[in-house]
Amino acid sequence: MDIQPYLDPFPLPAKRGILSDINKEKTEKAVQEAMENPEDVASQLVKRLLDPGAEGNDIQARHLLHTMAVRIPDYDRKVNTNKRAKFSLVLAKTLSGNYPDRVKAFVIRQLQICGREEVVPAIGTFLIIKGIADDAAQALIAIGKVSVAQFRKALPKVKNDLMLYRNVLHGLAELADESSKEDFLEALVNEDDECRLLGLWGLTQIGDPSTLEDFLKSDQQEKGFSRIKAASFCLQFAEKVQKKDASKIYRHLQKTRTLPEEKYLQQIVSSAL
Amino acid sequence: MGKTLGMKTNRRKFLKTSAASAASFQIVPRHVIGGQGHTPPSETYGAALIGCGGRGPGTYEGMVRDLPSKLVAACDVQKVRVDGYIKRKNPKAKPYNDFRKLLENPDVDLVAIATPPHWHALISIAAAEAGKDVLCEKPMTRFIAEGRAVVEAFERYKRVFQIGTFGRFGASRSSTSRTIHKIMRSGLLDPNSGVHIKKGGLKLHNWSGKPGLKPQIPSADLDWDLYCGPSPFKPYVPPRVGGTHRNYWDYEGGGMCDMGQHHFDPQQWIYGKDDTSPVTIEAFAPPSHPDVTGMWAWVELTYADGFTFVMDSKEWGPGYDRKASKQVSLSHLSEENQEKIKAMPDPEPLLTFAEAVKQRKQAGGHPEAAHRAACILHLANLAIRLGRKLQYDPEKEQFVGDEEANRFVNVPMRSPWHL
Repeated sequence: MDIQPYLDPFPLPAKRGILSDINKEKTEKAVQEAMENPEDVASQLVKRLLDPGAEGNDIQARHLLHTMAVRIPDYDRKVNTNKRAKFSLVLAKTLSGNYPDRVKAFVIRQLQICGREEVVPAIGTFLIIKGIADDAAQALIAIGKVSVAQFRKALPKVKNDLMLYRNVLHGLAELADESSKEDFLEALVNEDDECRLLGLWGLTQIGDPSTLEDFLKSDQQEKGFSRIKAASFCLQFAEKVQKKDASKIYRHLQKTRTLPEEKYLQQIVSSAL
Repeated sequence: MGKTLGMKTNRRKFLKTSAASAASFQIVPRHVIGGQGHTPPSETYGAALIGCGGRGPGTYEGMVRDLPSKLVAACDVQKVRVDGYIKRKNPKAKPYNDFRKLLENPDVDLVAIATPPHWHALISIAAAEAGKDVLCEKPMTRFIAEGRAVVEAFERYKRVFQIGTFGRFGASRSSTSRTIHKIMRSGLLDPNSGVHIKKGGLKLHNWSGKPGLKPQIPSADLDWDLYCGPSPFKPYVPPRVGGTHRNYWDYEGGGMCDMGQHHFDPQQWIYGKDDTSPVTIEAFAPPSHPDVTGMWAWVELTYADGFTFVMDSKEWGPGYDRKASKQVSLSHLSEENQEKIKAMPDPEPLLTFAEAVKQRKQAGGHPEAAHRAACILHLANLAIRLGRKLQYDPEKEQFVGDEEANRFVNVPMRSPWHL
């Protein structure tokens, strides 16, 4: 199909390089027409996307594809179709194609807006690929708890790569995944301070009192800014648990935060106990 | 403040007290406690600036006004900026590239934050966690959930926060504004047909982005990874750094976010909306570009009581003509209710940052008020970006019946950053 008529109303940079010459009526009409056949339009649009460093421009294609991704969930709700899922699946399918990483990252970002459970496996495959894993992780987090399985699946494959490991731990912590309790505990003894903090944060997110002993043991190892963040996780953990466990955390802070510059923490803890 | 640590915040109770603006923290500042290596209260506050370019020096001066202080540290992801600032201001101050290291410094009591807005929330929260008081440039945040996290952190740590816009202080000294404030807070005006229209002043053309630029290699002086921080890691193009960061959704949100908090923060105080947000938001705008900010005509935001804020850009498309401007006044009330308003005490004076730091009370531009003012801008921008009328629940801080819109309320951050 020829998608050029849908692209033409979208502006190219005008004076000063900005998109000031944009016509609402014409662009809205083009979007409406593209929405009649979103699957075909989507697959054609992806073919027009370029690596940011490549010759040529894909400004109109990116603009239209993004507009469709933003509008299609509401379109679905209003006219009771299943176009959102079909559109998203077409985009997800392109992720296995031979496109540059930054093109795939852009497609993933559109799925972050409109995708749901149906696109999670396709995005999940990128959690183990450097340079695109963080785009995938953020999209999966946005889609929500249905993404947990993808992070769990990726976890054993990324343990030897610090950045990928952090990325997956971060996703599991953000999604407050209780089934990752042991993995958060394991992260507490990692030599990388960010991993240890992600472990503490993950345990804070799930707020399971059975992890308190290890949590507090790890907290007192931290130095500098990590020590500041760890104290914050302690306070947040205490807000999630019963009074008895909260008191345990406050007493721990009272005992460990004894440096002169930590007196503000002593004040907070004293008022809490 | 009334919150007992160890219990989940009762937001309504907190808002009731925080909106009054002068609740005491009951916790003395770190430097007042003194101790080895710490400045006694009779001397000076150790002050720091994070983000030394653009507005940075002005933000710092705004923070230390009326406070005995000295610059002890400064930080920027661009070495040349921090070195230049320290050389001009105090060559003995310590330079940092990473804000986390600066916050470890026990000599720092006060932190001015003037980075691009995608860093405002995380650095504000980290500063509170480190026991510092904060003056943060506007807009307070990049998305809605960040603001709630800042509110909770400053409540947890009982630190002082003031947003870097000060129009509400002048507004609160006007007798007309105080009367409107009292009418609005009294709940006697029901339904409320008040309409405040801001015409122009939102700098659409100034802060619209240039799409399609070819990536370049950032200068060795710039820590591009740390600059991007919680935002998506994108190929570097020069306008992403400097004042033109405003042109990218990744960092700010165009002229709306650059100027909006200046315009609407005072109005939010006048109209008594420091503890809530609009419930319906509708915009007239063309499809929005995925990366760069652009054109829009108007946005209409209506609160649960019927009161309406309007932004009429005057820079693109048709002018706003759905409602006429209508100021709230005593004449809208019955004689009996007018007497009730006249008998009401004036709102407590808003405290400046300096007064709040010295008295350990909430500043006039406290976190909840600043967050709600930033929400006006974020909600307006989301109506522009999503191209549909939005229904918003100001208590849950979520859109109603719109799962995909809610993905813009709490935008996932790049590892290892998180709220």
